[in-house]
Amino acid sequence: MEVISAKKTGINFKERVLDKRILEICSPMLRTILERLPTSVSSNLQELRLRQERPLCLRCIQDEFFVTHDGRVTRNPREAYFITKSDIEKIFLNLTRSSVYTLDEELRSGFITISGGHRVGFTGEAVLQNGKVKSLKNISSLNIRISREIKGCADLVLPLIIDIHLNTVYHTLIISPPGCGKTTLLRDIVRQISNGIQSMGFRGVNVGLVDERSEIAACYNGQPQNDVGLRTDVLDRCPKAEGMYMLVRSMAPHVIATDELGRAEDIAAVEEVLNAGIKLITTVHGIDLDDIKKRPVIDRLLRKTLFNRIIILSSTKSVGTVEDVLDGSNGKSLLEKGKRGDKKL
Amino acid sequence: MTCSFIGLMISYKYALRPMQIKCFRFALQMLETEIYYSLTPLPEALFRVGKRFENEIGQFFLQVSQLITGKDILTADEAWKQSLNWLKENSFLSESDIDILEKFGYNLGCSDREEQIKHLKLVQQQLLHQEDNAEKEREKNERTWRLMGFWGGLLIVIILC
Repeated sequence: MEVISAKKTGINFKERVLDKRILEICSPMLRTILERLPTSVSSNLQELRLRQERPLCLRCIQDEFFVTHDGRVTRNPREAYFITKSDIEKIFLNLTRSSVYTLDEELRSGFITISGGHRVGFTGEAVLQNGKVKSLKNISSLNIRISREIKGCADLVLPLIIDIHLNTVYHTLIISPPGCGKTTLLRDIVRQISNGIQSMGFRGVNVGLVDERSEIAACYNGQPQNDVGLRTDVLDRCPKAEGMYMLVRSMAPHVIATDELGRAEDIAAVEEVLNAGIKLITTVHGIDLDDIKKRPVIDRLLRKTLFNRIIILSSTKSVGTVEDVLDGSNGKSLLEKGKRGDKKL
Repeated sequence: MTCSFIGLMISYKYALRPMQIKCFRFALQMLETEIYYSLTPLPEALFRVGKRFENEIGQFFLQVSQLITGKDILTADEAWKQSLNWLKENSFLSESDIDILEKFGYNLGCSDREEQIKHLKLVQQQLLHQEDNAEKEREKNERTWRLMGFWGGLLIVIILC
């Protein structure tokens, strides 16, 4: 509601906060609509949801709106602009620079990273070959996820996960429900420990990043679009377990960071990483410690008390609230009482 | 003299059409290689093909490439269609040739590799057919127009005398 009231109090229609690189891939009609969006909305935008023959839908940090054909936000889906088939087709062609045939792998995985680090996911009709998805055709839904780096969002937790005497970091697990800033936090941790933190006297260390879903570094043509630090090597779109082995073999990293652990084969890879004396920072979907213990794979990892630090995020106050930071060995909170539930972002 | 020259000009037009179709066919063959073997993104593939031909056909390909990457950001089929309109005015390709190319344009760049190749093969075959027809037409008309020019000229000379 906050956003709508901000709009009523007067907004500057001319100002454009939405990334040019997103507007560039849009169809002309959509471009004009999005250009008219009030700044209060476009600066908070997280997702653009485009579904064929259905209303144009925007997702902001804690809210969701429809958009009319003249760029007003509304809650009534009937007033909204309805996405046409040609809108979707045009965006998809712009997205691929009219070269769909060069994107076999992307079509199979269902998303494309565009310049600027934004991700566009899509669904449509699957084309099968020998029972496996070969590619997608007749694309009907697009989800444009706007990537925002929040530099400095890890400032609160960094002192707790860094061992300053040995100039190293602890094995860290970040627990968070979807959309609470888990990836954003991980990215900032990676950036800071890779660059080094002068105020703490921490010298930068080599970081290997396995970015299976291309979300952390958001590589476009192999080049990280987000700042992941001076000493960070990125394995883009690589399966986590295999990527961790590869990094151990090839890049001798001090720290390996990866997103969303959870598959059975990940465990063996994690053990390999720890045996090689490499520190691990990773994330997992979940509400709290008890929640993730229900998942056998994660439970096995936790039982071994591999992780020294466990960070729990939520969005109770705002996105990316740090609920707690636990010591992995005894489960005690490391945050002072007053600081608990502090806003991170 | 003038009349036989006009006759020659008209017959020249008939000779150019099969040549241009052939040239277009070669260009598409190159595009096929770019797409199939090097997986070059379309704008760049079109640009490379365009650079290889120093005639209207080459210009056409360059134009399509520029329209896709240009500031208006056209999709491949829009760029193709717009450039075809230009080609229609600036080449000897017939209505039916342009028609075939236009239909091909709808599928340009918007499917996977195998499918692109299928479309490219098909359009090349169609163009080959057009080329045969154009060749036949040329043989038939070239002689007629040349003779017409000559005899027409002679006739005028006789009348004037």
